[in-house]
Amino acid sequence: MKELKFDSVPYIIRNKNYSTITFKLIYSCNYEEKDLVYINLLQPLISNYSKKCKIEQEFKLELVKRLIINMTFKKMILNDNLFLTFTLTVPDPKRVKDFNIENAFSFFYDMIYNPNVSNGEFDKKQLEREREYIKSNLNESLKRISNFSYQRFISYFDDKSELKNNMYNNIDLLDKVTPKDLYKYYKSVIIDNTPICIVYGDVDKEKVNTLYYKYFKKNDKPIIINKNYNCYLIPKSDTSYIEEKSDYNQSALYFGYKIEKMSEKDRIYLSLLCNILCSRETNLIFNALRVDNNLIYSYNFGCKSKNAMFFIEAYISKNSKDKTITIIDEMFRNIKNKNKIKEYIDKILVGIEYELIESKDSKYFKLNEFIAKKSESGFTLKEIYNGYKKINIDKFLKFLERVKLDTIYFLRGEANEKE
Amino acid sequence: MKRNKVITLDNGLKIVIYQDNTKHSMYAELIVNYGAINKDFNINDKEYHICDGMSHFLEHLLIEHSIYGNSLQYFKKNYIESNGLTSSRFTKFYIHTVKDFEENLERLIKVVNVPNFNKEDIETTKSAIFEEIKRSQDNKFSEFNILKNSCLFRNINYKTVLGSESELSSIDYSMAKLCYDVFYQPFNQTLAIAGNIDIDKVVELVKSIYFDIKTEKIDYKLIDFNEPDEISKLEGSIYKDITKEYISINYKINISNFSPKDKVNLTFYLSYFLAYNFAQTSDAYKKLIEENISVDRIFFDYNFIDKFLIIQIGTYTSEFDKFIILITNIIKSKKFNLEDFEVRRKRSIISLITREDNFINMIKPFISNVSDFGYNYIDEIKDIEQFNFTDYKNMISSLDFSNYCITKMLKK
Repeated sequence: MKELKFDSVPYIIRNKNYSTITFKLIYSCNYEEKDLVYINLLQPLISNYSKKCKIEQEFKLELVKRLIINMTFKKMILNDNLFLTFTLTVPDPKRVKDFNIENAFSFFYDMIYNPNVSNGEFDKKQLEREREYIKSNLNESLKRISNFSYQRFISYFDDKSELKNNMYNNIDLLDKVTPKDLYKYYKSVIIDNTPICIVYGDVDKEKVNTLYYKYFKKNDKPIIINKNYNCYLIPKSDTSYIEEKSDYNQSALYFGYKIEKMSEKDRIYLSLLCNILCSRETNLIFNALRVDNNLIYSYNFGCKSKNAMFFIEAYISKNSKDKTITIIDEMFRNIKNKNKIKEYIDKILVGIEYELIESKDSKYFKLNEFIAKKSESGFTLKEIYNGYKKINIDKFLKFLERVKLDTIYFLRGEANEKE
Repeated sequence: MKRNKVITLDNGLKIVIYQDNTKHSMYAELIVNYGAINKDFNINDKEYHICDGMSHFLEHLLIEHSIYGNSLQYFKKNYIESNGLTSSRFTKFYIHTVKDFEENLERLIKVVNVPNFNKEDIETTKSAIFEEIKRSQDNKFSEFNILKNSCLFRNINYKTVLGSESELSSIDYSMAKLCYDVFYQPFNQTLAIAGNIDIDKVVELVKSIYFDIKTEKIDYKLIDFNEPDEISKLEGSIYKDITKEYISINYKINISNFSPKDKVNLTFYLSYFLAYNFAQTSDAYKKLIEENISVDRIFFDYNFIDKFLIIQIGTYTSEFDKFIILITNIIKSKKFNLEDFEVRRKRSIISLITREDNFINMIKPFISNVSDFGYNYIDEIKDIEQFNFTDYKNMISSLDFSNYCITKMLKK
């Protein structure tokens, strides 16, 4: 575990190039598995209603009238750490006449601190509605092959219930949350918490502080986060192969990989491997499965270094399963070549150089990099570039030996299959 | 410097340009006015009727068998984002790069205009598309859209952009070559270019590239759909393995008398009208929740096909009658609100200001103005400032909402 310190005064990131101003308030708290349902219910109750605008329609109308471009509430769970992020995006008052930034900010503040609560409880009817909405969406989304197949895959792949601890596997807990419980949880994560504030745009520090401290109390105490993001999955001794049938037209084939004895130092190697597999300029998976062998239309790739895992999800014809497995196996064996690795790294480095140029056109690049760096939740592009430049290829080869194919999951589509 | 321009070359190619020298990258999109809907045409009094899926198939064929090999792979290996897309009305090919723009613009143009496919390539190209068709078959709204089109249209008879597996199997070299030769002529293309470029330099470059490309002119005529204003069927349903049922009310509105500028204005006025009456800020949404018609919001959208504006308004519910009454009554009464109009107009102005933050957000609506509506100008704040409540009311009131059909997705 590591301690991260943040200022309780707003961080100002100046960028004169754009016409919007973004406020981010990030609440950091400890996370336990049981909190998942609370967060999922809290999100719509905070984002759709407030004490002043008790009806969703009124709330949304205020957003429109106050000329707010965007106002969101999102969560990020990193093992024991939970980050609740409230974002407000508004036009820059210097570019849009008659726009009142305080009018927008006060609404934003109300959304967070004055939800539709009375007598220490959220509104029962609204809680019921949002509960029904979440349940109906979850049930419906499980009918989609991508969601269904992924849930089936992780049920075999995830040995620590890290990935499995999602709303699909906790639907029944939704009914157990009471308006009072939810308020208690809300109070603990928001009211009794101090947010990290970041303001991004063509802003003046003094004006930001004047606005911010109209609503928030001055506090010299730094915000401490006990960083414990990682929960490494452990590879099985042998690869499991699971096959199930479905009524879909497509078949989905998953390759789940885990890193043996993963450590913090391995993150850069894992990042490099993922880039070799699916970056624009190397794209081994696409080339192997589509260009060279015409087996797929599309594939998906996911990587979570905090769980020491990555996976490939390919949509294939049911009769291509064995060929696809062979090709992926061959692809991984072929990576383990010192000269090839050097070639890939050189190509990726050039790609990153271009990406760094392109990032100058990206509105939120600076903001996102700042957050990733400060919270140590991910590498910045420059860190990746420098990390890859310094990589010792022999050590990378040794890392590759610890990459284990843990699970192959095949969901066979039986409907209207064409040979 | 920021500038914009529309130019038509002697060969009929339209070039739409947005120059923004505050940015570091460049974008080019080559649009061919050939989409899934263009299946029937006439050459020298001979009629041709092509199966569904040909325009999409040609997109794949050109990309995967270009003079550079698989052009997506080629561009990406050279650090350039690239892809293609086919819709009911267009096929598009694009690149986005920070380097060597002029050379790669030429390559993009040649991928599209210097065909390199042969008979063997026809069959190999089909494999990935078969998988794409299966993917769309697993999307419940795919079949729902086919149903919607069959209820709306009597003569416009395309079902899907991808075509069916049997239609795809039937495509042969001669059919593909014919469609390519007919539709991929320069006068049927629009080239959009944006970013850190020099307008005059890039126009000269494009002229010289097309000058070197030899194409034989083919005179063809699209066979008119003669699509009547009336819908084909009042109602239709499909049964799917779903947990929530869905209903859509689909309006078919003839806008053939609208000028290009009218059509552009219509997109703004219509979005204000639909938002006022059906968004989460609306009384209709409030009623939807209070009367337990749905736990979802009202989904609304519109598009243009042939001479028609198609508006879809739907939601997840099993209370079909209640929803139909709610929506049709609102449409009949055509409510407008001055305060709401003023706020939404202001938001449009803000949207135009913030669009400039990203030059791709500038070029896309500009392309739409030119390609969709034949209006050769970019949206400007002064245009929005000229919008007024009377024009808004008059334009929406002039739309004939009497032709509509109802489509339902029911639980198996």
